[in-house]
Amino acid sequence: MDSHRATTPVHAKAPDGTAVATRAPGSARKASSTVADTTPTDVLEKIRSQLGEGRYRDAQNLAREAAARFPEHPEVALMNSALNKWTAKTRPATGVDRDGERVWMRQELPESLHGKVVALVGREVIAAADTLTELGQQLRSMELSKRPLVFRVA
Amino acid sequence: MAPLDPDYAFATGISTFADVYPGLNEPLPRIYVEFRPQGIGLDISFPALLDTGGHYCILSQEAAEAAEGLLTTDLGRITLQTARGRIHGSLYLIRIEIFAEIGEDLDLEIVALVTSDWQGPSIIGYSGALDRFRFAVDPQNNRFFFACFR
Repeated sequence: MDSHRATTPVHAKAPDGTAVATRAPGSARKASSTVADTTPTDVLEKIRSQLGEGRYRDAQNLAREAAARFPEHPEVALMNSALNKWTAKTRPATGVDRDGERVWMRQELPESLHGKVVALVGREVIAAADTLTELGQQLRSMELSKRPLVFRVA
Repeated sequence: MAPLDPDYAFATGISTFADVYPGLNEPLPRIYVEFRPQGIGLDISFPALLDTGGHYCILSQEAAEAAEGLLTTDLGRITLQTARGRIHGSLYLIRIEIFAEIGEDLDLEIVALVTSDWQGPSIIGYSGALDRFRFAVDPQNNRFFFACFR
C-alpha cells in the first residue's frame, strides 16, 4: 500500500545498461538533480541525515528518486521501500478490557516498584523484575488468563 | 472532498487508552495505546505514547529487547534532534500490532528507532508510524479509533 503520490521519472538506459532517471527539457526538478551526480552511499547518508533532522517528507522523496536512479542497489531499494511502501492488515480483535489496569496505573505506587519492569493483569501486578528477560521467565511459568500489560515503572 | 458517506466506516478497531504512565506524574493527560512488536515470543503488550508531534516510533528499552531478534531490517544509524537533546540510534522496519477491544486489531509495518539513549516509554510518533493508518481519539471516553487506509 502506498498512499503517497509517486514521482514518475522518465527512465532511460545509460551506455553501461544502468537505468537512470531523466526528464524532458524544462521539466527538471530540483530533487532529481540531487541524485544525478552522487553515489548510492552518499545518497543514503543524505537520507539518514534528513531523517535525523526530522525532514521525513524530504527523505521520502529523495529515497524515491534514488531508487529510480539506482534500481539495482539493494540498500537504496530497501530504504525506498521502508519509507514509501508499507503493508497494513487487520484481523479480529484480540484486545482485552483494561479497566482494572487503568485504575491501577492511576494510583500512588509503592516505592519498591519504581524502576521495576512489571506485568499487570487487572489491578494486580503478577510479576515484577529488574529486566524483561527475568520477567519473561516468571511469566512463562504462569498460566495466564489475560495478556499482561508490561512496562517499566518510572 | 467527498460528502459524508453513511456507509463509510472511519474506524475498524476501537480500544481504550490509558491517560497516565505509572510513576511519571505527568501534569496533563496523555494518550497511551497498547501495542507490541509482532512476533515476540511472549503474549504481552506494552503501552506507547501516541505523539503526533514526535518523530517516528521510538521503542522503550523493554519493547526493543522483546523485539531484538526481529530487528533485521536495519535502515542505518541516525542522530535525531529532539526537544530533549540529541538521540543516537538505528532505524528499523518492524511490524507492530495495535490491539482493538472492538472490531479488528491492526497489524502494521512501521519505521522505529531503537536507541539506548531513550529511557522512557515507547512512543508512536508521526513519521513512518501514525502517518500509516487512520486514527482518532474520543478524549471524553478515552477511546482510540483506528483503521487501515483503504
